[in-house]
Formats: sequence, C-alpha cells, structure tokens
Amino acid sequence: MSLGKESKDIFKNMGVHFRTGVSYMLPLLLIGGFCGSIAVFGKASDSEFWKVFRIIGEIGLKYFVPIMAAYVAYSIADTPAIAPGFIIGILAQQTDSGYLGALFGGILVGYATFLVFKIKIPEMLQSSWGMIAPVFSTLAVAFILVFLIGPPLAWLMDTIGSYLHSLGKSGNASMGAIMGALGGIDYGGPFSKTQSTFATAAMDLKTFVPLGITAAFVTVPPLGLILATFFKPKFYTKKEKMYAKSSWVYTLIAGFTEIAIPLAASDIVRSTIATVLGCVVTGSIAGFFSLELYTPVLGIPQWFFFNKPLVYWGSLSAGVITTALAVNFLKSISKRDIEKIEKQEENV
Amino acid sequence: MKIVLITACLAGVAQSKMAAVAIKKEVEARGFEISIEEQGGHKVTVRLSQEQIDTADVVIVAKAITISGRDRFRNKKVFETEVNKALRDPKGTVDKALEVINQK
Repeated sequence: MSLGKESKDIFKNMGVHFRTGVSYMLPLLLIGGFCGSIAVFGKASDSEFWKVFRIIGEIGLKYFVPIMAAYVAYSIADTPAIAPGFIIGILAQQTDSGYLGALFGGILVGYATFLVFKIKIPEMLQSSWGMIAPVFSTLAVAFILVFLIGPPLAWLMDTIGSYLHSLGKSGNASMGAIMGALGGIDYGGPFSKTQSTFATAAMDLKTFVPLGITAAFVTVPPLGLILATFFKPKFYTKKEKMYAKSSWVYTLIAGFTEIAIPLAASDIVRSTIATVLGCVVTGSIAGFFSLELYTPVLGIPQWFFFNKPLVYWGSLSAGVITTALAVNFLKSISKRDIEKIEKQEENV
Repeated sequence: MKIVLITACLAGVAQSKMAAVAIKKEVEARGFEISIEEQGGHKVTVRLSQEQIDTADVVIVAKAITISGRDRFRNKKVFETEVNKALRDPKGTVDKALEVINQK
C-alpha cells in the first residue's frame, strides 16, 4: 500500500482508534473509582489502611488520561507508539490541556510514529532505527503540543470545566435531558457511545454528574420496553414476551442498554421515540438532583457508588414507566399485525 | 465450512457478547462450524488456537476497537465489519463473509 492510502486509512478509522483508547482507559477509571469510593468510609481516619484506598483512587482518576493517549497511539501505529503516547499524555496533563490535549496528542504521536517508521533506512541500520525512531516522533509532537495546540486546548478545557462546575439545578437538568436523548436514541450505537465517553471524560474535570446521569438512564430502554410487554401483552409477539420474561433480571444485574435491541428491532420507530422520552425524563431528574457516580461500573455494583441512591431509583422508575406507557400508547394508535408476525417467526 | 469470529467492543461487556451470540446462531442454523474470540476492555480474552485459525475458511472481524493479535491471520481471508452491524444484521454479515471466500 502507498503511504497516502495508508494515511487515509488511519484518518478514516479515527473512531476506531479513539474507542480503542477509551477501551483501555475504562479499567483505570473503574479501579480508581472503586477504591476512591471505598475510601470515603475512612474519610475521618488518618491511618495507612485507608490511605491505600485513597491513593489508588487518585492514581486511577489521574492516569486514565495518559493511558488513553497511549492506546490511541497504539491503535494507529502498533506497539512502538505506546510509550510515546503515554509520555505525550502525561505532558498534556502537566501543561493543563488534559483530556483533549492527550486525545489530540495521542492521535498526532501515533501518526508521527507511523511516519518515522516509514522512512527508508539502509538495511544495516534498520534495527537500531527501530529503537531510536519513537524518540523523534515523541519530540516532534511534544513541541507541537506545548507550543502550538496545547494552549488553545488548555483554555478550552478550563472553559468547559468551569462551565460544568457552574451549572445549577436547571443547567444540570437540561444537560441530563440532552444526554438522555442521545443515550436513548440508538441502543449503544455511536450516539450513546459519544454521550457515555463525554461522561467519563468529564471525570478528568472532577465533575461526576454526567456519569451519574448516564448511569441512571442506561437501563431505561431495556427495562421500559420489558415493562411494556407486561402491561399490554396483546401488543407483543410470543417471541418478544419470552425474551422480556427471560431478560429483566439480567438487565438489573448486568445493566447495559444493548439488551433492548431485540425488543426494539422489530418496531424500531415507536420503540425509539419511547426510549428517548424515558431517557430524557430520567436524565433530567438525575441532573436536577445532581446525581453523581464516582466509578464507571454497570449493573449491581452501580447501586453502591451513587451519592444519592434514592434519586437513582426514583429517576430510573420514572423513566422506565414513561417508556413503557409511551411505547404502548404509540402501539395502540397504530397496531402491528401480531398474528402475521408470529406466523413469520414460526416459518423462520 | 469453518468460520472464525472475532468480536471486539469498548468494554467487552455488551456488544461483543451479543454480536457473538447472534452470529453463532446464524452460522449454526446453516450447519457450519464456528469458533469465537471476544475482546474488550474489561475482559480476559480466551485466545483461539492457531490451529483453529489455520483450518478456518474465513475470519469475520466484528469490531468497534482495534483488535489485538491481528498478525495471527495474516494469510487468511478476512471479512471486516462493525460490531453494531453484525449485531443488527447477522444474516447479511454471514452472507458477505461467504462472498469473501469466493473472491480470488
């Protein structure tokens, strides 16, 4: 492949590279958030025992940023780019451009590492060039980051940070509504992933409300659609009812949005309208009461890390019931031919 | 017919699992053999053996992130898709993978 074509491929797959970074970053947030939340119990104590929890919490919540940069770079240029990405990520933090600096720095240093390995070198020197090359890519991107793209990104991070911190009840509620609309619209597709990535990225700014909002509505689509089949069984096919009965416990335990897909897929428009509504309701309630979550976990572990568990259960129920009523209302206006669908299902 | 499937998603909790189940059902309904490897952030990957990969007719890669261990199937016929597409349309995914086998 030519250099131009390979470069084009790299930039075309930017979403994949970004998500790879996020994928490797999540466990840090989880370990850090988990230990940090436990440390709250020992707040008053000064003993070494509780200090261990506290320090692990701080490490996880600080170093998820460079790990993300490292694995964005890894996704672009494979193993040689991990170390440059890690260094650039820490540099971004120390020069205040934080998450955004690390993201763009990681992309740049990944691409730069890819480029320096493309330089034609005499056969004899190739193995030593392999060791030296990442030094140059790291240096080049470090200068770009510090003198060129760093300062505007630092300003942007600061602005977003102080904006998120200054949001009052109604501000948080509208943020929750927007996030809910994104989260309920495509059942774990690009929109909801964008929204949940924003929620985890906001942890770099020491704001935990976005994560709390996300966690509150993540199970609204599956639970809402499941509840709807219990309210009005006659609107659903046998297969759908069976799936609903077998999956509601699993939804509570595992707690992710994608469980809704089999229920939504056969009637995507009406289901999506209902789940968006439900998620908006849950999101705005959770935002209004500043629901916070300190670690990005799903399912049962979530229940123990909310700052206001009552708000969680309240907003969740409101959203689930809204979704169930809305989808059944929509189905009652324009009915599907259940018998026909059931016959088709039998034939398959 | 032997098919190898690699699924990979952000956390390795939801989509990779569900896509694997959907494709497995579709492939087995057609009477083919399938071996599956799931990857993701919160998951210990159970690696496919090199033998499983070598004897497969086609490798399906359904991913949202860069998969690890790509060099294991350097000489294989590979059909790449997004994990979301595989999850929503297992039939089309398998159809397209079979087309890849017939391409020279």
